[in-house]
Amino acid sequence: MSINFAKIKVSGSWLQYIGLIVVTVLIVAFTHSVFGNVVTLANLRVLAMNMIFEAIMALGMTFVIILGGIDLSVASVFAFGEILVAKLMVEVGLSVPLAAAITVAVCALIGALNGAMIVSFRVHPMVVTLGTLLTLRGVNLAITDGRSISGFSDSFLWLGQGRILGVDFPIVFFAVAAVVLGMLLGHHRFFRQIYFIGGSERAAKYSGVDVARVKIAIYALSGFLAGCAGIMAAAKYGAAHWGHGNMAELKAIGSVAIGGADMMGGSGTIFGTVLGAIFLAVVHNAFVTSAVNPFWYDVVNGVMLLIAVLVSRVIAKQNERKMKSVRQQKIDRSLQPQSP
Amino acid sequence: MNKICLSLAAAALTAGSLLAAPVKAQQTEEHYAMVVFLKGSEFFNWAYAGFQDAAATVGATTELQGPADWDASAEARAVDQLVAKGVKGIAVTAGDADTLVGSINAAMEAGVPTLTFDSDSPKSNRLLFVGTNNYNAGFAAGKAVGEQIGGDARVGVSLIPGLDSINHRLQGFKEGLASVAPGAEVVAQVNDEGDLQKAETVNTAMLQANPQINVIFCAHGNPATGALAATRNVGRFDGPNKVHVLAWSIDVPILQGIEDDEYGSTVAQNPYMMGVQSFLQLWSAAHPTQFDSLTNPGMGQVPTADLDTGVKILKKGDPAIKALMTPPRI
Repeated sequence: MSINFAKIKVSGSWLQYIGLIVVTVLIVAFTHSVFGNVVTLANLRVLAMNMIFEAIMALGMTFVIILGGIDLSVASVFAFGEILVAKLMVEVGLSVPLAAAITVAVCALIGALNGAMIVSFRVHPMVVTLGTLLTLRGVNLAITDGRSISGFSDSFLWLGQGRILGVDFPIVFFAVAAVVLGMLLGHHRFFRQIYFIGGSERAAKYSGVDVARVKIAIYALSGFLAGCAGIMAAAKYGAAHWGHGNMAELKAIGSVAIGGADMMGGSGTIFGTVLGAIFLAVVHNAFVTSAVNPFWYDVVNGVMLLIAVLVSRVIAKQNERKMKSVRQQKIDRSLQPQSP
Repeated sequence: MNKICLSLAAAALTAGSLLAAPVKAQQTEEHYAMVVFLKGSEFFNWAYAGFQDAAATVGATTELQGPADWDASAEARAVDQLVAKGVKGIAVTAGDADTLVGSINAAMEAGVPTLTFDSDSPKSNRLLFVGTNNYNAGFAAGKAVGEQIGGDARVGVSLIPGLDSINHRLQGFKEGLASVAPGAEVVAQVNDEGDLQKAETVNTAMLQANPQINVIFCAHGNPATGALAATRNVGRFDGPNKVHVLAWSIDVPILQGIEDDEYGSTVAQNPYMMGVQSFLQLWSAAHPTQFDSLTNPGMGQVPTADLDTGVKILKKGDPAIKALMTPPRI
């Protein structure tokens, strides 16, 4: 049996993934060969931990962006999660599990409130979540007086500094969450609906999809993951501070966009987001390794984000053209006179 | 799809060309790093310039790392990365004292000499702190106001409450003022929240409620422009009732304002010296001599006491103003 490789068609998304993997590997190979100290256990661990909290937030952001929305509030929910869990343990005296459970529940509730406001007031998600971002940032400052909270128990610190089989717990959390959420997104009926909503909200609504319910649930998921990231970050740094995670929302959005999701909604995968997060972590690591002026770091990130968005739009346009062509062919066939 | 591949290849080349610039230089020379919490800030540019210049005297290379937004966790990650990279020493200014403890301790445990400059992390195992002693700086500022205005000085303070650094400055200011002008007093304090517009609003209200105030002491870098605008708002920008605004900044607009007689004076810290001294201490720690450090075995001789880089109160005509008005390029 022979395989005709010329006939194998690779979808645009997969080409984008392959391109991203190739670029990432090239950067790693280049920096390692020139500067060394890149493919070492110590550096790879630091590289992974450097983006891990943004990557966890990016998982939730993937669902939101596929849905056709955006969640700018994740960074302040992240810092709020840090502060809330710290206050519940240090000032109220709650146990670690109880404080963590309350914190993730409150963060999910904040996300759900975002979703409810978007659905109820029919306001653009960017406006609602920007409002939440600014409000919560103010709350974070006000309830801490600008100071950090520290003095956590060892059992809590384990959530950020502990290891399972030599792998840092936040990385394990991210990997498990990525696999579970990736499977849900790919196969579960409820989560498949978000592609439908992101593609055409009106069509989804007329098809009987409870758009409001799905939206609120997805924004709650985004808040939940930001809360989880916040708890682990407080444990990792041994302190909760209002300034932690500043601009993390942009890195989370960047991971999703570079991973190939269409910013207009309707497409994207967890796998792509994971690749996007790894790419950003590798680029940042390359800057430190090469000692290039870090002022250029944001330039490269921004350019890559623009390229990724452009590529996603090109793929989306191609898909649209294909759909139209198929539709036209069907119409043409139906209009052809039937032979007796 | 070819276009997509071409775009990605172009991106790879762009990244590659950016990375290729300082090739290998650092592999043969000793390499040191500075980590700041506000990359691009003029203050830290001065500090890094001092760090670079001091390194150049011994043929070492340097790099600057840290976030462009105030995020101490990003600093902690930068320290972790630099340790993994194998730098010879790290000078870090702590965006938050507690957040940096873990990373600084890990760096010291890995044998990488690490010190704090400008903003300390006192609970960490850092070698020492290099920077302004806030009490001494406040004392110098209070003494300068007392000497210039005398016992008639009635001072309003623009500050952010709750910060240890600012509390120490204010305590020093009050004691410095009392040391030369016992009749002078601090009559009001306002919270400017570190925001220019807020500073204008609260200082305007303070001047309206306390017309006897003839000096505004800005206890940190941000509120000076707002405080000056407040003096305009109440018609006391110039003339016989002019309010003397004492800034705490070496930013060019403030220095120009002193030369133009808008501000009375400014407290000038010495970030350049912070950079120079930080490098020299790290160099010393990275080069053990015949006897190891008592406090940090395996490292060279470095004092454990904080190193006060001092301040100067700059007034119109001070030659230092001209020098400071040409910030370094990184």
